[in-house]
Amino acid sequence: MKNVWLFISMLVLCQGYAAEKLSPEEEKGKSLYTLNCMACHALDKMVVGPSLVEIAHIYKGKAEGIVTWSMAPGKKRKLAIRMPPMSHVGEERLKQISSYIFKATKGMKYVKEKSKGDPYATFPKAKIQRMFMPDAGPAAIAVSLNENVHLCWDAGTCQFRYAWNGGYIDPWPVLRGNGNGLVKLKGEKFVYAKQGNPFSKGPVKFNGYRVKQGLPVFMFKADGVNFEVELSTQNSNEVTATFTTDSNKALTYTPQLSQGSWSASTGKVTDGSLSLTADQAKKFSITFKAGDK
Amino acid sequence: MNKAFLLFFSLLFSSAFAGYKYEEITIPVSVDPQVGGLCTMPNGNIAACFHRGEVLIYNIKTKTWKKFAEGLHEPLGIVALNDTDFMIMQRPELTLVKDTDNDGVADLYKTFYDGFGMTGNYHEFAFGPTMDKKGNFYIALNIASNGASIRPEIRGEFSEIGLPREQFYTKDWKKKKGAAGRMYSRVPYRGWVLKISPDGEMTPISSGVRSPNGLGIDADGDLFTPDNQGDWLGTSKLHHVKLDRFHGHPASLPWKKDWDGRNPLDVPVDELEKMRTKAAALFPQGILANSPTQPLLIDNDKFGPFKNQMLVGDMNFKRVLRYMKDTVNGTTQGALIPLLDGDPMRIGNNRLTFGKDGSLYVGRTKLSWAGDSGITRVVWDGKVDFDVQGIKLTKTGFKLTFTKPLKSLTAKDFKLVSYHYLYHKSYGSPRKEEKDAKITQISLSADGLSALIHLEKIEEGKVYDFTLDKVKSKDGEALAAQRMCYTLNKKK
Repeated sequence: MKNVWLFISMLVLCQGYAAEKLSPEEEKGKSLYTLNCMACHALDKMVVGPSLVEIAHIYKGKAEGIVTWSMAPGKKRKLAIRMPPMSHVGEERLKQISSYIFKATKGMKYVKEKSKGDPYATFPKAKIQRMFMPDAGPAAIAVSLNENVHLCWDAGTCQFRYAWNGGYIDPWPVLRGNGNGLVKLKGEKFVYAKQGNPFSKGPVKFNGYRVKQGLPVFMFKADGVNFEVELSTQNSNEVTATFTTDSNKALTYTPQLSQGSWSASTGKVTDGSLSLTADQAKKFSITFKAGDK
Repeated sequence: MNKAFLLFFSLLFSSAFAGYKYEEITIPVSVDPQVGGLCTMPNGNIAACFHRGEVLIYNIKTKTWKKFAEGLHEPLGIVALNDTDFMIMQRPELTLVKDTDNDGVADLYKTFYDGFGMTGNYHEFAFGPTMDKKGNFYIALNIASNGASIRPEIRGEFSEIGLPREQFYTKDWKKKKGAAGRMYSRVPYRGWVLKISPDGEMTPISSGVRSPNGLGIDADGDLFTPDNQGDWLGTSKLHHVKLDRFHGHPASLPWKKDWDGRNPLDVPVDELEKMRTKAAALFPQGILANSPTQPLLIDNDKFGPFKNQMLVGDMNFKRVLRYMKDTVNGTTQGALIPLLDGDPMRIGNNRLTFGKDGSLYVGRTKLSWAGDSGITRVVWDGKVDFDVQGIKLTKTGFKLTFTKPLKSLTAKDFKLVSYHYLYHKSYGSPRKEEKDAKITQISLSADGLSALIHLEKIEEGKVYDFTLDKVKSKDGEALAAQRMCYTLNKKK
């Protein structure tokens, strides 16, 4: 019984203490903050937006700035999303929130947070990873052929786009947020093809890929012909694409390389285009290499 | 003293939602546990897809995970077709992911549908799929945000309406972005819900969505998708999707068949107002939800007495809500009310699936917004909370039903206000014309399980916002959820 009384008196004391700490204005501000702001703004660390401590630091001596900003926010931080307007809360209530922010952070010192980097950086990456890639269409796929040679396949245009050697990918610029970034290649490109399917100027249809011994066999259709492509590498400056098709007609292959060179296993090359007879078109390979021929 | 504190804290943390227990599912440390999709397999196991592209299968008996697939681009929805094949929505396509040799690992990633455009803008998320009884898949495509421009290379036809493509590459995007619209649809079917038949044929279903984060089909076969407060959305919405409907965000209109070529930003609001189908329910901002997510049918009796109602998650509140549909003269409307609310729920409730045992798996994400990560399994322990069971509009007001009988109900036991939101280009809307609804009479059924609330006046186009804080059951219990909002589009 004694314990219960002690508990009740502590409860009363706690409530009295809390009531003393926040003015009615600040109390209102606290509940408004909980409803409207807390999901994105924590007391002392950046969540989606800056912490209350940082906000108080920015607007020290100019509290009205919090209201003005919140009514019609802009975008200040490159890596953060734009804050949605809080005009539905209203200026009066935003003032109460700002009063609460200053009270809640009283005596706290703002220390700039350091960027933490990718917490998953040390875990193995998928050898086939679809993601926003640099210098390719938005439906791109990174493929790691081995520890040293990697390539980008463009699923939009159904073509090999480029290869690089060195490390694989740093996906953190894409994954750290909502996808507003590009994968960073951890090496140097040695061959690059411009956007455009080399078999067809008309529409092409990407059909996905099979996984064969951990690597993709890409499938697509162009000009009525079904293609399958396997990619391999013999050395660090070379990638070979082996095509198998159901073509019963001659095909022309015209890669638009702006870096590196190519050669074909069969067919006839004229003015940068490879002509394949119907028979040759059933299976052939193209090798992409660094530098000129 | 310790006991007293324990009592104090247990009182503090035991929510009124007494009938649910929570179990945190451990996810392998190598996986970023932001959940884009969750589904239940025919064998009862749970499949989840994650932010970095993995698909993992959770064995519910051994409570262990196994990697099934990887390398997907921001997958945001998954449906199990059987125990080896899944239909998965990733940013660039709807993909059939198959394990063809039955070794438990996917070996075929077959493009099922990729006929929509991509500009590379970060906000062009792709949601779904949900599958109907005929095997059709429904997907929903976000529109782009002018917080960023487009990429040099895009996929699909580009709409030059209002702002030519080269202007998107202006160095000072800040000066041009206004002309693009706060949110824009420059490639096909951005801002649309699409149907993909079992043989891969696409039919555009409805336009005018902004950020339709998830799709769900209810017990009547009606398709729903939520939408997020923003430009043209005074507050967040739940849309009833039907062929040829326009849900209100004009950016998507250039992809409408026979569109006259006008800049959607120049179409008068009155004209848009006539075109649009009002939402089946509104989530008042800051009250019920700020960023609603996947709707899911309660298809069982094992999760409380709410079978055939829908659940909807939310990103910003520690909450999963219930949707009580009320079809009035052919118009879909109804009420939203929290079901799971407050601790130990967390924010970021992005994806939901019912296990075979009727427990609910809640997957969370955040990306760069407010949210969280991980998966929680919520189990109903069979104890019925005192709750609003249902609500229907009557000719003179509302009929509320309860899970437990009331002794009495007077106008002093609750507050009922009505208001509306503006339909305009601006971001969000304040609540307008907020006023008390005048209650003329309240009558309670003989069994105390239902109440008729008669109003002096019923207005269309309003939210009726109930605060039921003093309503008590016969046994003196307070309602588990005390805030409920009915969206009234059509009078009885």
